Amino acid sequence: MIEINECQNLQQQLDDYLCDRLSDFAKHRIDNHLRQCLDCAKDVEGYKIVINELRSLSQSTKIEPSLALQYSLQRLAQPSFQEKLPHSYVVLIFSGVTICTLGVILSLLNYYGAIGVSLVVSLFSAIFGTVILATGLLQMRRKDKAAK
Amino acid sequence: MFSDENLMTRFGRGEESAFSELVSRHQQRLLNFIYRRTGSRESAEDIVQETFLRVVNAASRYQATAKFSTWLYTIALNLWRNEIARQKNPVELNERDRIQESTTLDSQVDFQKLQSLMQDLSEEHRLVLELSFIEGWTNQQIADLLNCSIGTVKSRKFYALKALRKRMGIDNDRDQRMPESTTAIG
Repeated sequence: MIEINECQNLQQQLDDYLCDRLSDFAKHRIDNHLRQCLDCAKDVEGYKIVINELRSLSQSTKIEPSLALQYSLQRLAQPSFQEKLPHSYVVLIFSGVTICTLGVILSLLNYYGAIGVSLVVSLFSAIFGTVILATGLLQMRRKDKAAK
Repeated sequence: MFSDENLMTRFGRGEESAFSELVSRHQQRLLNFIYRRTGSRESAEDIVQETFLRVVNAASRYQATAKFSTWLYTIALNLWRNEIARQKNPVELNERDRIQESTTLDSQVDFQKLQSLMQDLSEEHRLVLELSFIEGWTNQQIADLLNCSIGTVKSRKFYALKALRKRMGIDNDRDQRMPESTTAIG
């Protein structure tokens, strides 16, 4: 009865045993069982031979990356190879300048009485635009530092 | 040592050295993984290069939700599958390339041996065996890559191991005695 339980235990843990992922205790328990049960020992030995053959064949057919591949992979990270998408800071700076300019123009027009837009709205646009612009410039500086 | 995911995030922030580290960690394993499928160094190198190019292009949008290696191998496998679909007769082409490009005679013989050993297995079974016993992936990683459950990974693994055992003439009487579902389900 004990033997049957040990056989079942092996079947349940066989995957981890073959992949060498068992704790020392669990591995020791299975090793002990394999010394006593011929059927299981034969079973496991068969799997081990297959796995060793796979590993050995894949090892002997291994190829090294060519110099050309190594060179081109290293060049991939250079900015000229990267996707030509605008960085987020470019978008921020552009939006900041636009909103800020619009705010200043509105403020001036309001000051000279050309239009009746509230001074608060105009000044808010100018300030909001300046904040966006500053965020964009900060991001750009951080990106430059990281690149260095 | 930084994890792959950490390196990828740093590369996304503009650190080129993080990408170099990722390349040096994965290029050889990935190249051999694809080479075992294509049998041609040239097309394997093309696929590896294209894979890393896609990594570079996706760097700024990268989210570390899955393991980097799973993502990398998924890209490479998809590219290889596209390549297969594009070729009219992939087996013929691979056979020719294999003979021309293998570096030594021993390596050629072993490559043929490996291919012939696995020839009766489906691609999914081969993938599970290779990733598990050659690449050392966990069942969870393999399940993520193949988009299936861990139970499926395990049953494919043992089906494939038994098939290879039979092919190598190390068949065990117990296989006939025990039903498929009761063996090696852990």
